[in-house]
Formats: sequence, structure tokens, C-alpha cells
Amino acid sequence: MNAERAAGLVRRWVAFYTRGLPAEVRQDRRDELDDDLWSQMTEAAASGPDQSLSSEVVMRLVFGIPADLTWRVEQLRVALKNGGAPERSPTTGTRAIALLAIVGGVGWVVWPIPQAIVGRDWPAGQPVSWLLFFSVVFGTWALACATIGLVFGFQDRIGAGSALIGSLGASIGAVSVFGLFAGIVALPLGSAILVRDLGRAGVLGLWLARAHVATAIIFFIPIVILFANGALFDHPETAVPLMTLVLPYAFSWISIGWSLRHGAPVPERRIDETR
Amino acid sequence: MRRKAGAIIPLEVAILEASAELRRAGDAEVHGYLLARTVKDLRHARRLTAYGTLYKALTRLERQGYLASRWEVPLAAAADGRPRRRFYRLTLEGEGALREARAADRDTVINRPAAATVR
Repeated sequence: MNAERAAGLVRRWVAFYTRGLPAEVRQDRRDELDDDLWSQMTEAAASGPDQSLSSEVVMRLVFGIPADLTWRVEQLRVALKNGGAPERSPTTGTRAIALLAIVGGVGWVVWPIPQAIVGRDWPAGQPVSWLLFFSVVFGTWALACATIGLVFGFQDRIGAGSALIGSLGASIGAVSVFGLFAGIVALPLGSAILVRDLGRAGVLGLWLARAHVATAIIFFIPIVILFANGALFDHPETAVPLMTLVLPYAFSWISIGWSLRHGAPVPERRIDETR
Repeated sequence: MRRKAGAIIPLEVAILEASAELRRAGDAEVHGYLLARTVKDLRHARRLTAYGTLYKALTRLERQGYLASRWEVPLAAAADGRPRRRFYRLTLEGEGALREARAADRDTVINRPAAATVR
């Protein structure tokens, strides 16, 4: 490894452990390390070829990792003490979206297993039917409203395509509860594309967004099987495992709601990543 | 183990020592790398202090008021064709802390043989 690569490694590490800190703190640490690397390499270049420079840089990086991590924890603590959760803007709208996501997610946690047990024909007048009715209808509407809320709330941070697909998916999903059950697939499709974009924009954590997309894909498995062989859903022993695959999608909505309960992160100051 | 508030560790003493040394040599304000190199020389160390260790110590010394820092004007850095630089200088409190650390160090050295002879 040459010295330039070693320096690149240090810069990537600094970018990694300063992620999520206030922009000013992050930029200061990057600049300070940049200057240190520059000074070390300029001095080494002036004193002739030095084979040990790259290993010296890597050693300084490795031995400093524990201190970097504790420094990060301290900075986060300072940011929080100064009202720093700064990076979040708690608006009523965002809190409403968070609440809808949690309520909808809980609704969708409730219905799949009873649905698999009772089958397609809900027993009339039974409590389980009421449970299914409320959890399916209100759960789906809550998720649809949360999706549309995300589109409108963060319209300046997402692409037009994902905004359109997200809104359409939510709308089709919302009306599907009136009997057009196949339309339910539009909801995870739309939310997955929208949430993926929100993850890239920094509104939601990148891993949370990826997890949501993954759970939406998993959601399609029982739906595809249902269309291919509906008879599998007439027997609880096959229906229950299949409907369990809906649950990760429901839990990912609860996680989204939970992550937005204190507001969404405000956009960071643009940092030059090319240096 | 958590260290006591206000306690100063050997690396931090070495950084204060390096700042004082550089000031005597005419550099009242010094950047991180120069401090790392001077600390290495003073401690006869084999390698420079790790990045994380050095800058965490500088953050702590500044928070305690032993060092003060300022960022240079970006134009000055651009004129030299290098990244902008943060300069540190030793404060009066820092000088006091350094004196105390030196005195404590002397006491330890003076008391050590005496303690060894008491049986």
C-alpha cells in the first residue's frame, strides 16, 4: 500500500466515524486530519523516498481508533446536551406520520395470523372478524396515509418518480380494502420505492430504508403464491407460515415510525466528498 | 477505567510540554502535526501519536482551558496550496497545569528512593 492509499483510508475512516455529527464538528475534524496528513506527507517527501510512510500512517490510524470512537460518543453527548438532537426537526406533521406508521404497522402485525387461521371467509359476528376488519382496514389506511404524508412532508428531498409511485401505491392500497384485494400489493411497492429514496436523502437511516425494501420484497412471496395457488390459504398449516412473511413489512413500518417520533434529520451542510 | 475530572495524563502533559517548547523556539501557535512530531521527539518515541489519540487529547486540553485554538483564514491555506489549519497555543492555565505536572513528577522521583529504603 502506498502513502496516498493509506491517507485515503484515513480520510474514509474519518468520514465514517464523524457521520451523523453536527456538520461543523464533522468538517472541523476532517480538515484537521487532512492538514495532519498533508503535513506528514509533505515533510516525508522533502526528506526523500520513505518506504515506512504508509505503514506509519496506517499505524497512526489503527492505534487511534478507540480514541476516535470515544471522541465520537463525547461529541454526540455534547450535541444532545446543547439541544443538539439538532439534526432533527420535530414538526407536528412528522410526528403525525410517525404515529400513523406505528398504528398502521401494529394493525398489520395483528391481522395476518388470524386471517391465516380463519381463512378467506370471516365468521360473521365473531370477535375475530371485528379484529380483522379493524386491523386490516384501519391498518392499511394508516399506512397509506403515512406513505402520502412522507411524500408531502419531504417532497423537497425526494425525486418526482418516487413521489408519484409512492402516492399511487398508497392510494391503490387504501381502496383495495373495499374488495379489490389484489391492489394491496401496490402499497408495499410504492412505499419501498419511496422509502428507498428517503433513505438516500437522509430522512431515514440508510439501513432502515434498505430493510424496508427487503421486507416489501418478502411481502410479495405470499401474494404471488396466493395468486398461483389460492388453495394453500384454505389450510392453516400452510397459510400461517406464508402469512408470517407479511410481518417483517409491518415491523419495518413500526421502525420507521419510531425513528421519526422526534422528527426527521435536517439536511447536513454539503461536505466535499472528493477531497 | 474512568479518569478523574481535571486529571491530566502523560500524553497531555507531553502536549503541553511540546507547546511550551515550540513557543520558546518562536512558534506561539502550532498545528496538530507539529505538536505530534515535537511530542515524539520529547518522549523519544518510535512513532508519532495516533491521529485519534492526539486529536482527542487536544480537544480535552482545549475544553479544560489549557490550550486555545483558532482556525486560520481559508485564503492563507489556499495561497499555500494546503488544507486549512487549526492553530493551538498554550494558555496561562496550561502553563500552570504544566508547572504542577512537572512538580508532581519531581516529587515522585524524589520520594521514590526514600520509599524503597523503608522496610
